[in-house]
Amino acid sequence: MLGKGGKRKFDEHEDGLEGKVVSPTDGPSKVSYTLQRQTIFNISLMKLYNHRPLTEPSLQKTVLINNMLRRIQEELKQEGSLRPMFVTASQPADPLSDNFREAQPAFSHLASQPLLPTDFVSTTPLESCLTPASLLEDDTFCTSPTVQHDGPTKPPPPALQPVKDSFSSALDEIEELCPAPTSAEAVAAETAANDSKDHPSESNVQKPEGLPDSRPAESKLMDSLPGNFEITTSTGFLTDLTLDDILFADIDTSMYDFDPCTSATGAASKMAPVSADELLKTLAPYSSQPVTPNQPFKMDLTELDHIMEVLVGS
Amino acid sequence: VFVFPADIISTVEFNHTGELLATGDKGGRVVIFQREQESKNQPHRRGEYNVYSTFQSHEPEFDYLKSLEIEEKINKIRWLPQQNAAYFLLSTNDKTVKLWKVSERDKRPEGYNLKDEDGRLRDPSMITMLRVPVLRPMDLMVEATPRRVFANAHTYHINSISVNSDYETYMSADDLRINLWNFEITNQSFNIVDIKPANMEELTEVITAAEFHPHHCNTFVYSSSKGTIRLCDMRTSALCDRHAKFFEEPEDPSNRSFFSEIISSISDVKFSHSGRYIMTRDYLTVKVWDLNMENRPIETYQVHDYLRSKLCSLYENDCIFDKFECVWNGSDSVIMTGSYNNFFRMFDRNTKRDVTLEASRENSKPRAILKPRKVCVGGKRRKDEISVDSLDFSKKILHTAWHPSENIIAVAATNNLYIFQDKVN
Repeated sequence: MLGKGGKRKFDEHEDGLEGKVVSPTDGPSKVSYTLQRQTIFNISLMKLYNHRPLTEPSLQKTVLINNMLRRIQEELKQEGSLRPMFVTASQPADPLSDNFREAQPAFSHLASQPLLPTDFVSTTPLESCLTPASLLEDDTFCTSPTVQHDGPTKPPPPALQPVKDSFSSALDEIEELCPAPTSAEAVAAETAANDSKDHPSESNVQKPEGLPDSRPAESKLMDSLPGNFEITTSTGFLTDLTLDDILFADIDTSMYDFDPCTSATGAASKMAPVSADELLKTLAPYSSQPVTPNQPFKMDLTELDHIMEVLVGS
Repeated sequence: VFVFPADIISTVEFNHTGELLATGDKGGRVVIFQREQESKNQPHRRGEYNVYSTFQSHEPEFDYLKSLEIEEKINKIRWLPQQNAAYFLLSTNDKTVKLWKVSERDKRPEGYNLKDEDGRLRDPSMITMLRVPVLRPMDLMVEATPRRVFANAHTYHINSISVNSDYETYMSADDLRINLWNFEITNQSFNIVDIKPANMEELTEVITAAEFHPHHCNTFVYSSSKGTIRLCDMRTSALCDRHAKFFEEPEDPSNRSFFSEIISSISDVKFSHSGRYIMTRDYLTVKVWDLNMENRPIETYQVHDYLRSKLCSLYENDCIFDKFECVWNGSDSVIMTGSYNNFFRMFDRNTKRDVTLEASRENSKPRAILKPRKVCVGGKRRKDEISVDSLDFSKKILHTAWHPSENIIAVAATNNLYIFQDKVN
């Protein structure tokens, strides 16, 4: 990525409005923030779990990466707790962009829906989110949230659709770097579910009851991880995520298929703005199936062990 | 260009007079250079440094409990002030500190009664007379012997050692603890700082560097991964968990990013020679703090701010975790630190001028004057400038040293050591 290489010629046109570099003032910055956060999240996870050194890994590095993951997770949780407020149109405590406000009235009748209906309406050009690696060369947009909003504690709610875009491209990234296919799925699935999981109890997609059952399995997970600094710190993060809830569950991929970008696997294809009707169609299945059965989330301990072995990169 | 990993220099340190310069490398070796005495016969050979002694300080070990190797890489070397003809230094890897004695031998005894010059025992029946062995001159031999081994006191990786001004004690710091040692006692040490939480899952901050005050033997500082510095007084209590002073700069909200915490992590902390200031190095800046002002540094110098927009890539390739050191010159008027592309930077605190220089064979011949370098951050690149994207991030200068009284600097560039001197007409 960086290093000795051809110098980049300064191209005046690149810096214009059509440029792929996102400026903090327009709509895509919200999208880009989420995108970058997602990518950093993935990178951080890989650093923690794909590294198999012969010597003890640096505690400082592990702690810093762990703090990064926790911060992102906190942000996601906060956003998850903020979303229902928008859906019910009670009060927009967040300073929101116009995009978001427009979407609200359209989905007010979907108040009971746990997902991010409002976020699907994104009229912003999405080709900018399709190539995270090149975008991230210039991390100018990583400071955009503070430019746009009042405080760092209330980041803009992410648009779910672009996040899904980042999944396919992040998936590609991860698959390049990590040979074990299961772990790539796990990371993507985990982050996907994390987003949807962050909705409150009215959400029927994630079953909270699955958690107590998975706890003992999780402690076993921690034991089987390779010994490094009382790796409890990184597995502490795992506890929060309840990894095994999501890991190999049957995830309804219709959400992904809905997104034309995914099929293009990161290619810079043009995105048509999604209409409200299309979204309603996708959301219908979620309203009719109130309970996702617990079964997919329960795992055998032995299966877990096996999975951990694969994840750890035997 | 292939470099044997064992040859990578991992620490550089002048002794208190500047006569000796020690380097440690990844392979556990220590090489000591000695400055040539200036002689009237050869005035142009103005005190060059030549190899004086080489020895293997640490060997790789294996921790059977954790099934992990313990690297032999020398993390730090610190000299003791000279008290007799021999030189003493401390060298440490991740787990064990050793006290080495480096001494010269230029005479040897000859004329033993019971053994030959070769060392073979003589046949007792052949001994007919008694003689007294005499010392005869021999070729100078420099030998290094380990005098003390301070082991098994650190669960985590040692990042710093610092000799106390009382010359009787020293401290060693790892990620979570700092221990105080007496040079004479190797089987026990006092734990003076412990930041390990009861539940390791709550760990969010580690110790990154520590140093004793140059004059006050009861005072020391340690820095953290969150960009804070704590000054402690050992007279207040045995366990210095409560700091006497706490140095932290409030975060600049306009520069906030995902990587704010990581780039605030302090990689090195150094007292000025005067003892009035401390200097800290984080990923992008060097800061000078007045011991009497805790809420912000008195000076901040940008080392390579053009990297601020590349932080995500630098996070991905781990460069963001590189630990750069920083040094004061003898009069505390100039500070120096390293960067990438074999660049290193000097900042004059009085004139506020700074310069970027490069340590590389291609660009400098012996006795040639170093040419200042410049990194171009955007817009048109001038002929001699280097663009940010052309920087070689594998060529990092992490370790530098400044002679205690003269303008002589030592710069470690991967496996090469460069020594630069002020040109005198």
